[in-house]
Amino acid sequence: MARPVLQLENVSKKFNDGDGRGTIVALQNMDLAIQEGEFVTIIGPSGCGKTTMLRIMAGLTAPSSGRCLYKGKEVSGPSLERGYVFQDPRLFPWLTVLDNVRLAGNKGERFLAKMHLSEFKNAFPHELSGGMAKRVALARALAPEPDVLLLDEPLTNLDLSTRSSLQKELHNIWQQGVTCILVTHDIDEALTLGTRLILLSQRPAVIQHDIVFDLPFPRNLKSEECQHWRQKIVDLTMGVAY
Amino acid sequence: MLEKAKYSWQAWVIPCIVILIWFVLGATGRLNAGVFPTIGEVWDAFLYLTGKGLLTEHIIDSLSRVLVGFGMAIVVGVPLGILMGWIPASQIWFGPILHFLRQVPPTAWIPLFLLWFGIGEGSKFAVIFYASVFPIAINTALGVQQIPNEYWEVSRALCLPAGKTLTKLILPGSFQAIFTGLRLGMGMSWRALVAAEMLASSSGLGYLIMSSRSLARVDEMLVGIAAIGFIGMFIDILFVGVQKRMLPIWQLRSEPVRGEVHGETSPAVGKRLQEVQ
Ligand SMILES: Nc1ncnc2c1ncn2[C@@H]1O[C@H](COP(=O)(O)OP(=O)(O)OP(=O)(O)O)[C@@H](O)[C@H]1O
Ligand SMILES: [Mg+2]
Repeated sequence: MARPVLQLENVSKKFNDGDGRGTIVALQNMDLAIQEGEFVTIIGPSGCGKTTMLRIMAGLTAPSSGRCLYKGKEVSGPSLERGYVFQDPRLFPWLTVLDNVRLAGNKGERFLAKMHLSEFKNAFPHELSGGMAKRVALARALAPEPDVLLLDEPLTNLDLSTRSSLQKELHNIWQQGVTCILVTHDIDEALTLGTRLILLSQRPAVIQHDIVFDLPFPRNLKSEECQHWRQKIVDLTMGVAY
Repeated sequence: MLEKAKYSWQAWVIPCIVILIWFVLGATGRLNAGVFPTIGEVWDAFLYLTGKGLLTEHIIDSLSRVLVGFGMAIVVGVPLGILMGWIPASQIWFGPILHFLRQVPPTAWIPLFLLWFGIGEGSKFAVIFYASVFPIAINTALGVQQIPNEYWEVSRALCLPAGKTLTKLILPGSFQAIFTGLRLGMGMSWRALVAAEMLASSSGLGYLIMSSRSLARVDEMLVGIAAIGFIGMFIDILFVGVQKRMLPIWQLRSEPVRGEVHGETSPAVGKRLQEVQ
């Protein structure tokens, strides 16, 4: 097997809790290798440490112990090669949509067009709907043309049609060679997009199941195969509150 | 607040009553001219001083001092504040000394500044600078620190270089606070300047009051007081107006900033809305 593009080696992450006396263990001895071209989906209970895991891969936080490797090199901070889409859009309110996506790369305008937002390029973030803001945030992360895209629940709280059009967009991006790692709460989304599913336990997050789907695209969720996988995943997640 | 006051009739009620009482007291001969001149006498003094161009000269002298000293305070205060807000570790170096110096009123320094910078313009610039640099630096630092951590993380995730972080995140993100600092600093420097001019100067509104005192011209002293008050008020209104005009569109639309923005939307906002539709 080729060298993984992203790798967690025995990674743990501890936080001081509110009053600074105890510690919260968010990740415990996690090992994970992600190959180039995978579309990894991550499902886990709320608060188990999914965001923490992505942040470590992005280089936004350092692990308390263990190592995170990107293309064999230890991650020491964020890099434009790893695009990050935050759970909330986090657009700068004082910049227009276009200036926001141009923050990190002149290709911003092109990705704005891909997200069907060209006509809003001179709008300010507060003039956008939630779904539009998420698309802008996605365009912003894509503008530097990253090799890996880390997505923290980019599609939650969106209406069904926006959601499915954005899923298509993510699928296209992945098909163009971007390795995607997507945190989601939605099994159907994982089945629609993923080539692999990682199920996490309650906090501290431990990888409980690591499933590879070898189903062709486009996926028909109603097909027997998909329904079979779906049932299997539901069974696996039973007993863990998702 | 002042702006609202400008537009409402209520604002004029108390001044009118005071002027009326003053007028009546003068007209009925109850005022002792050596201590409290009549309103007519003050008006005559005003006409005399403006007629000879003296008042304008004093005002221009005072204002140009403020302009220079305040400009220096901006040049030092804003970058210093940004440094302290951006790199909190730098506060260990600057914080305590700043908070010490800020407790010493600028007027307390006047005798020393006279000694160090001479009785000329240098000591006035120093007093104005001293009076305004702390509000500017401290408000700027607070403003930078109040930029939500979420936005700092975006700038980290996008690997923004320092220059872009400054122009796209820090300056717009702390704009309000910087402007508040400038406004406070301006008020402080105007007050400190008058004190400096009273102690040692041969021109300016503070000098006008002191020289009128030695000539026992109470009427001219009152003209000086009125000029100081009106000009200070005018500058503040100017600041509020500029702040309002410079308020980014997104702030005008989302939420008024501490009640200083009133109902109307600027033409720029209307245009923006049309573009979006
Ligand atoms: N900066 C922090 N300081 C202290 N505790 C933190 C910090 N970040 C995360 N935690 C804790 O770590 C745990 C995991 O948080 P994380 O945000 O990774 O969860 P999550 O799986 O993304 O949850 P959700 O599904 O709600 O987004 C939580 O208990 C949280 O309180
Ligand atoms: Mg999360």
